[in-house]
Parts: sequence; C-alpha cells; structure tokens
Amino acid sequence: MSEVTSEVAASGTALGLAVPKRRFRLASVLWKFARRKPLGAFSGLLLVLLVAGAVLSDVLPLAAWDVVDQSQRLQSPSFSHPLGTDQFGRDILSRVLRGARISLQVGLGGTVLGVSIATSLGVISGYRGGIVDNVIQRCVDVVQAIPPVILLIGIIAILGPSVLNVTLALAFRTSFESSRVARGAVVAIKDSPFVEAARVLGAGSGRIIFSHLLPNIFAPMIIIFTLNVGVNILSEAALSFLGYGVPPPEPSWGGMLSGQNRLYMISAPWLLIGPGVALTLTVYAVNMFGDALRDVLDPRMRGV
Amino acid sequence: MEPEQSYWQRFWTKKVTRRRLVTRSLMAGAGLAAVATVGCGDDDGGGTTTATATAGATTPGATSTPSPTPATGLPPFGGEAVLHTQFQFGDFNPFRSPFAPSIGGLGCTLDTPLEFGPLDFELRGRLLDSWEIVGDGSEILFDINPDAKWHNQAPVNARAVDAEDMALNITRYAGKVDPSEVRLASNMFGLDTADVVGDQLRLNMSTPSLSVLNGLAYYQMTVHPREVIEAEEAFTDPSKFVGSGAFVLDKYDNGVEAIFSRNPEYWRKDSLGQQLPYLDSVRFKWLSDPAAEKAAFESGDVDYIQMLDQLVRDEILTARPDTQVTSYLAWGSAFNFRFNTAKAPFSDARVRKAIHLALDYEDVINPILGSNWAYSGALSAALPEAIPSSEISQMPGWNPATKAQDLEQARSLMSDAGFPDGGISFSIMVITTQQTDEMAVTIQSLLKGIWPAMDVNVEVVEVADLSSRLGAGDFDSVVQFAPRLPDAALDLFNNYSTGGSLNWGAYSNSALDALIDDSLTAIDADGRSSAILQAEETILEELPVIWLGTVDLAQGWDPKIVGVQQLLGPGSTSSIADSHYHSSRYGIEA
Amino acid sequence: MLAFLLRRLLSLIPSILILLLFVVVLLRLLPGDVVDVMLKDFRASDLDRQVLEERLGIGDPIAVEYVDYVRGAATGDLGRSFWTQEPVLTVIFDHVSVTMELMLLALVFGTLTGIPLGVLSAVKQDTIADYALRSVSVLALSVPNFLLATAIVTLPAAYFGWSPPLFYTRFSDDPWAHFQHFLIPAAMLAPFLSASLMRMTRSMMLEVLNEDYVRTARAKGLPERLVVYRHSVKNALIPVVTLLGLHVAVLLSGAVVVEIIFGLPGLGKLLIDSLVQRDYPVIQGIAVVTGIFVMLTNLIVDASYRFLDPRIRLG
Repeated sequence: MSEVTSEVAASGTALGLAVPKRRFRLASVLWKFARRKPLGAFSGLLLVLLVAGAVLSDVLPLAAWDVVDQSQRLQSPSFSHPLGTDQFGRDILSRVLRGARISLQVGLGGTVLGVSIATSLGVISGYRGGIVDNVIQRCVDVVQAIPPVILLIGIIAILGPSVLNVTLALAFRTSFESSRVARGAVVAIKDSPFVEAARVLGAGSGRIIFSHLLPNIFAPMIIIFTLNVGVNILSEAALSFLGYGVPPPEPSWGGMLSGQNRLYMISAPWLLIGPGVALTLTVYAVNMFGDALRDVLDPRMRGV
Repeated sequence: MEPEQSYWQRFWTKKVTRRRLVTRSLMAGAGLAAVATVGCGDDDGGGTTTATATAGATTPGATSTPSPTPATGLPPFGGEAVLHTQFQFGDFNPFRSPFAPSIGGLGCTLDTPLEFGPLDFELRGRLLDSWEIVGDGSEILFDINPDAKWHNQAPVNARAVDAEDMALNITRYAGKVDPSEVRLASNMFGLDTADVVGDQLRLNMSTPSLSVLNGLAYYQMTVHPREVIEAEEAFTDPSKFVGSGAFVLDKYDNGVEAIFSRNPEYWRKDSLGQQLPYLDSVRFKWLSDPAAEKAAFESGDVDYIQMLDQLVRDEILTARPDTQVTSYLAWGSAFNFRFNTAKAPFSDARVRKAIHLALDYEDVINPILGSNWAYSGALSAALPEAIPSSEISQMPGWNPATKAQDLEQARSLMSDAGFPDGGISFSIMVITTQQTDEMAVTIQSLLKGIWPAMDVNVEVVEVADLSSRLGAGDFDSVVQFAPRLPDAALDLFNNYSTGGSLNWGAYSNSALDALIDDSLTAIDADGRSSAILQAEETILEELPVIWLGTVDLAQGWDPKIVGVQQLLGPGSTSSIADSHYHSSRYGIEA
Repeated sequence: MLAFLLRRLLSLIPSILILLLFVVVLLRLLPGDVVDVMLKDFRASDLDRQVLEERLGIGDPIAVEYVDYVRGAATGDLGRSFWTQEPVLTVIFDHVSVTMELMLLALVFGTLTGIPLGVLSAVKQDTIADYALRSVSVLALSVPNFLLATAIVTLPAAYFGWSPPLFYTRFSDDPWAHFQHFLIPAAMLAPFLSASLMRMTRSMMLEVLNEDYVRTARAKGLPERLVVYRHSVKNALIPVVTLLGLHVAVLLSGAVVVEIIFGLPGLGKLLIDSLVQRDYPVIQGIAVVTGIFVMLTNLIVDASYRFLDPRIRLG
C-alpha cells in the first residue's frame, strides 16, 4: 500500500502532474496512520515541530541565543522569556531551539551515516558468509570490543570537539555496533524458503539483496535506527557531562543540562526544564515514531 | 622568634570576641575593598551564627562573648571530622607532585618548615624555629624546633626532626637531586645548597633572597623523614608515609577513604599548653562529582564543603541554614586571562590593553562567583605586598563607573594598533572542569558586542592538551584557574619574568625583569616592597596577563566544628587536610 | 559445535592483537601525553621532560612499544600505571569487580522487567496497556541518566536532608553497606536496558506471532498461551540475545556517569581518569581485558543462536 503510494507520488512529482490527487492520497495515508497509530502520529508531529523549530530558529522573532546580558540574569519564565534566562542572561527558548539544530545534526546525521554503514557491512557479511563474513565480523568484534568511552573520547580528543567531530565519532560507534544486528537479521532470513526460492529461480546476489533481504531487514534496521537516534542524542549529552560534548557557546541540549547548570536544580530549575524536556521528548518521539513506522511498513504486517 | 605564642597569648588575654576577630581578619584579607566589603557583610552574618552556635546561645545575632575560656583550660574537644576531596591522586612523590601529600589527606600527618599565620599572613616558625640572615644574605641559618619529632612508627620511632632531615628535603625540593623534581624548585629561589652546621640548618644562597623564607612556608613543602625519602616506597604506596604532623595515618585506601587518628605525642601545644590536635580522628573520603559533594554536605555525611559557586552556595544555605560559612581571600589560585605575547595580535600591548578596558569584570565573574571575589592587579589580592584591590577597583578598566570612557579609549587603542573595527581573530583556550569555559563565553560575547568584526573562538581542550600547548606556546590566549605563590616576588618572577615557570605567554620585558630581580634579591623589607610595587605598576601598564579576580573562598562547615574561624584568613591554605588546620582550636566540642 | 568454539577462541588472539594496535595508535594520536599532565603546572624544560620520559620508560617509537607490550602481555604482565606504579592487572581487577557487580545487578533488574513487559506489550498490541507500557519504558530511556542521577542524589538531600549512599565501602569492611550502595545505581541503569529489551522483544514477538509456523500452531488449535510461549518467545529471542550481548559491552564501560555521580570506583571511572591523565598502560589494560570479555560474550551469543534457532548454521 505505502509502496504504491510513494511510487505514485514520485511519478506525480516527476511529471509535475496530478498534484491534487497526490495531496489527497498523502492526506488520507497520514490520516490512516494517525488512526491506526495515534502515539506514533503524535510522536511524528513532535518531530515535525522539532525540525520546524530547528529550521526556523534563526527566522523566528526570538532573543539572541548567544548574547550575554547581566541585567537579564536568571530570570524565571515570563512573557518576554517563555523558558526563562540562564546565568548569563541568555534566552533559554532561543537556546533550546538552536540546540534542536545541533541535536538533529548529531542525532540524525550521526545515525543516518552510522546505520547506512552498518547495514552495508551487515548485509555483505551476513549474505556472503564464509571468509568475508569472518573478516568483517572480526573487525566488528575488534571495534565493538573497544570500550565506547575510549573510542568516542579518543576520536573527539584527537579531532577536537566540534559539532561535526562529535557527529563523526557517534556515527563511527553506531556503524560498528549496529552491523551485528543487521547481520543477525540477514542470517536469520537468508535461508528462508522465499530467499531460497528466489535463488533457485536464478535471482542474482544484487537482486536477492535489494528485493528480498533489504526489505526484510528493514524492520530491525528501523528499530536500530530510531534506537540509535535516541542513543546518539543521549550520548552527546553524556559526552557533554564528561566535558567532551559540543563546545560552548553552541547550546547543545546535553551541554545545557551538564556543567554547573545541573547543580542549580533547586534554585533555577528552568535552566534544566527547557532543554531537559526537549531532549527527553525528542528521544521519546523518535523511538515511538520508529515503532509505529515499523508496524506499518513491515511487509509481512501488511493487511493484518 | 615566637610569633605563634605571642599571637595566641594576645588572643586569649585580650579576650577578643570571636566575632570581632572574624570581622577583623576578613577586613584585613579583603584590604577594605569595596567589593569585598559587601562580601564581608555576608560573612559577618555567617560568623555571628557561628559565634552563637559555639557559645550554645539560642538568641540569633547575639554579640555576647564566645564560650568563656576558663583560666584552667578549654572545654573538652574530640570527635571525628569527615572531610572529602574530588582529586584523584597517582603520584605520591612530594617533590614531583606535591598535590598528593598536601591535598590528598596526608597533609595532616605532615608539617612544613615554616608557615604563615592564617589570619595575619605573618611568617612564623614551624619545624624550623627561628632564622638568622648572615651578612649579605648569602647564608641563612635555621634552628630546628627542639620539640619537633616524628611519629612513633617504624622506621623513625619518634626520633627528633633534625637538620639533616631538613637539608635533604630542601635539597630535593630545589630539584638538586633529580631534575624531574622541579615542581617547587622555584620556591627555593637563589638556593645553592642546604647543609648541616652543628645542629643547625644552613642554606647557602647563590643569590641572596628573602623569598626563600616564604617559599619554605608554602603548604605543599611538606617535610618527610630521610628514611622514608630514601626508601622511596611511600612515593608509590601512601600507607608508607610517616610524618611529624598532628595525625597518624591509620589507613590509606587511595580513591576510597583515608583514616587518620590523633597523634597523642604531637609536638605542638596551643597557647595554654593544651596538647594539639583537638580532633580524635579525621576521615577523608573521595567523591567524584560536585552534585554528590553538595548532597553529602546537605545530608550531613561530610562536615565541610567548598562553595565557590554563588548559586550552589545559596542552595546549600537554604537546605542547611545552620551551616557555618567562612570566607577569605585565597592567595592560592585565581582566574586569569593570559595572552600569548609572542604572537600577533597580542604581541601588541595596545591590543591587550584595549581588551582589558573593554571587559566588564563583574559581568565575567559575577555569574560564577557572585560577589565573592576581589579585583586584583598583577598579584593575588590576598598578598600583603600587592596593590590592594580597593585601589585596583578604582583604576581604568576595572572601575565600573568609568566604563563608558574606558570603552572610548579601548576603541582608539585598537585603532592605533591597526584594527579600527577591532577585526582581530583569536581563540580562547579553556578546559571544561573549572567553569573557565563560562568565563570565556562571556568574554567572547562582550568583545563581539563592542567590536562586531572581532572573531573570538572558544576552544575547549583537555588538561594534557592544555599543558602541552601552553608549554609549546601554541595558543592565542587562555582563561584558566591558575596556581599562585605565597610570595609576591616569587609570583612576579614566575608569572612575568622572561622564561618564568608560569609565564606561558612568553612575555619578556627587560626593564620588568630588572625590577623583579630587585624585588627578589632585596634583603631589606622596604627595598623589596618598593621594587614589588614598581614591578606591579609596570605590569598593569603592559598587561601580559589579565587577572580576572581573586577568589574570596567561601566554605561551609558543619556547625559542630569549632574554631575554623581562627584558622581561615588570607594566610590560609585552601587545603583542609593540611595540619595547619589542626594547629589550634579546630575540633568538635565534646 | 566444539570445533566452532575452538576456532572462534583461536581467532580471538589476532583480534586482540588488532584491537591493541588500534588502541595504542589511538592513544598516541591524543594531543598531550602523561608527561604534559605531570608537568602541567609549570613550564618544563626539555631536560625535565626527558628525565621524566626516561623514568616512565616512554618515548620509544610506537612499533617498539607495541611489540614490548605484546611480549609482556603474553606473559601476563600488562605493565604498571604511569602514576601509581601499581601493576595494571591489580588496578583493573580492583575496579572491574565494582563494575561487574553493578552490571550484574542492572542486568538482573533489566531482564526481569524488560522481557516479560515486551511479551505482554506484543500480545496486547495497540491496546491502552501496550501504549502505556511502551510510553513509560521509552520515557525512562529518554531521560539523560546523569540528569536523573543528579536529581536522585541532590533533591532528597536538599529537601529531606537524606542522600543515597555516596561513599564507597569495601565488601570486606561492611558487606551490607557495600551492597546497599549498588542498589540505586543499578536500578538507574536497569531501565536503559529493560526499555530497549522490551522494545526489541515486542517487535520480534510481533514479527514471530505473524510467522507461518505460529499461524500453523494457532490453526492446529493450540491454546494462545502455548503459542506465545512455546513457539514465539524462543524465536523472538535471537535479536534480543544480540542486544543483550551489545549491552554487556556498553554497560561495562558505559556506567561511567553513574559511577562518577554515585562515587563507585568502577572501571568506567578508572577509564575516564586514566584518559584524562594519559595513563596509557591502564587504558591499554582496560581495552585488552574488556576486549576479551566482550569477544567472549559475542561468541556465547553466536553459539546461542544455534541453540535458539537450529536452522542457523554456524560458520
């Protein structure tokens, strides 16, 4: 069902035709999704808001996120500062929105990169088996056996802390950790009757991988993907706690929650509430949306 | 030379109330600085609470005299104090890494050659009893305190501390035995050799200097028995440490806990002849997180906490209103903003000065310390020989009242230096664990507000990276919580002279070098003071380093601990483990 | 099976050698070294550095150091800490026991809650119970654990003057106090594990519940309970076991935050301290020890595939 929809949508866009039709279809698909997966739809909405906030943070009429103003120091939430201000008088709402951009970059960017590598490694390894599998798996074993703390901090310390380098470090970790799951899923289905049938019918490796294996490991990879978006956003936060996160003055959510701010939990809780809620909701929404998406997209779940 | 005796006699006979004493000490420390006086107001309140608490009175704010001191003796003291640290210690070689013995709890088992009166910063004897400067200062002779003896433990078994021990320790500290043991070598400025003459210790000075005396009072200059030093076991196994201090080491489980019990035969007595120390035992715990430290103090698990951060301090006082608060200007460390003067744009004094004039010091420091800091010039505001912070705060750049005209001047200085729109580009190097990143961010924002074309970048690095880049001169500027020395001339020498051991920015000025040289080698106090003053004035013109402020160190104590007020002043160390803390009425009333 | 295990065990040796090479190179690339940290408070001369380097036995080319290290490691000598001069194995053993305890307790808490809840959530798919369970577990996963730990440590202290145990007590000193200290940190780590376990169990259960053999079982008229437990759980466990294997690795050093805040001298904290202080022998030792541990865990996970799904041929 969704495959058909996307094909139609794609051809519609390509031809520049049938716009009303496509819009109708998309709306109805979204509506069906929302009815079947209310939590998933709600999470999706949260993510759309997050992306919008991140994109629009420069356009919206907000206070500057990086200008220190002692006269505005530690204001509790008010009309002019909906989430209050920090100990430097910077508007927390602007900083949270700006932080959304960093979290997306680190969380989504790092995970897309990481999971893509992981899937390729896992499929090649699981499908080819034999010596290729052995070599890849031993490499994965090696990297995965290095405590993530050494790996992440090592990479960041060598490259220097910046948004890009934190993203790269997290992608590296994700790719090796997830490839085992991809491989596990491939191994679990590559001897299934339908794959063997395809092979008997003369399908080549490429065809088997792209039309049989990939769609069928899509479900676990979506889960791994959503799990890792969350994990990577949280990892950035933990790295900030350890002093290796995105450096100031860039307001990553993790950075806003760690350092000295964490100690002001009682006297200035609004320092933590904004970024804390944003981070928690984002990780929550990513995970719930991933779950719902998987339920809907899974080929064998269709029509259930 | 018995300042300690006379000091305590004065204390008890004149019946100075504890409250007045506290106030006085704080005033002395703060140098009557406008900002610090505000701090004093707060602290006086804390002091009052303490006075009433210790007196057992229930009326808050009562100005009654503290617990009456019976002529026959003092109220019985005892009990156990629970202290803590966040530092992790690896190297226990005191000559190479003095942090472990002095901060790692072991300090309370050890003594230093000389010491500072905590309240008056006056140099006084400890293991070394008195000294005599011979002739032109090329020799200094010391008597060893006749009472001083080591713990009654193998391998020293309560033998007396002798000149040979002292000579060996000082030689090691001077880095004369092992070139890698140079951490405190600069404290021994001008020392050629240390040897024994009769039962006296003799320092042979290649360059006569008074600074070496202050260096010997540095709290990290702990003295160890020669048997222990020669065996070297203690340097890797702290349980092998044997000292002469107020406490005896019972157990040292590095990173977990250390337990010290009272040394019943400690060689020091208080002014009334009462045996020191007052505490029965000290339990030293490791915590690794500031939130845990705060919680541990609030729940009464530890008896002490350092409260640098203003907001944290407020939270602690709300949670535990009975907390005794002490506060004093600490000479030990200060925040600085240091320029690499070997590289453009900071090789130009006009650029440095423009930045200084443009900075709003209160904006940079208040978010972190609140009002608990004092303006400082080239020296720590706590040092008696420094230009007092009350004067500094009236100077251009520091004075908030003249900010508008300072800004004008800053702009024109920057233009003169060839940057009419301030279009310089530099990075500020910081490490994350000191809150200096927050200061750097404020500086960045302030400067960008004044010169939008200025490109300021905050660069967060690790300790190892910071150290290697500072050493290699591979930085533009750095904001750090930097160590300072308890001697004005030594501090100037290390921070500003060509090739000085803390002169990371490679600043070099031959006129200043000559002045610093004068201050170091002057044998008369007046000549020394005037040389120090001139040097400081030169530095304030040149500003190779901007000192962002001296910390007015606020500490919280469990109300049961008595006597801390008498121990904390500008001459204090920031190390609660120092046996200094156990050298007077510091304890728990039984 | 035995041949497989033997082959994999033997292949651990080159794996460890590669791992070690990777770590050694990584560490040498870090900016600043142990000498910089030791001499951090003053401008050291080249002579100072040289003397210290000689004393610590560093400064050789990487290849030489690597070969020396491997030679030592082969005889069970992982060197001494640059700082404390203690044998690395002693240091690691001291800290690893703390982390092991924490990890085991967290695994017990997490598995006991995660797997049953996942099965429940799958069986009750798209009901209120499913939504509530998933929401709560995912929320628990979504809060940064240093924030939660800070709240647990500081809030009761501020409001009630009580804090969870923060001082580490050795088992030999007071077993009960020792154990108590682990309860809250382990319970804090458990949701991280149980939430992901639950989600994984749930999706795998859903997949398996729609498999042909399960339908067949249903069609045969087997009671739903039997279908769920006999046919589905066992098959759904394959990726779950993978995940568990992953978590062992992550937990082993990933408990850093909790260890730091709750003052547990575990491996994670040792690792962070050693990294900051550039104590290479200790970091290398940790990498080797945890590396062997993780690889063995993976081996067991792979072997358990065979047990769980006989269709998988062991390569």
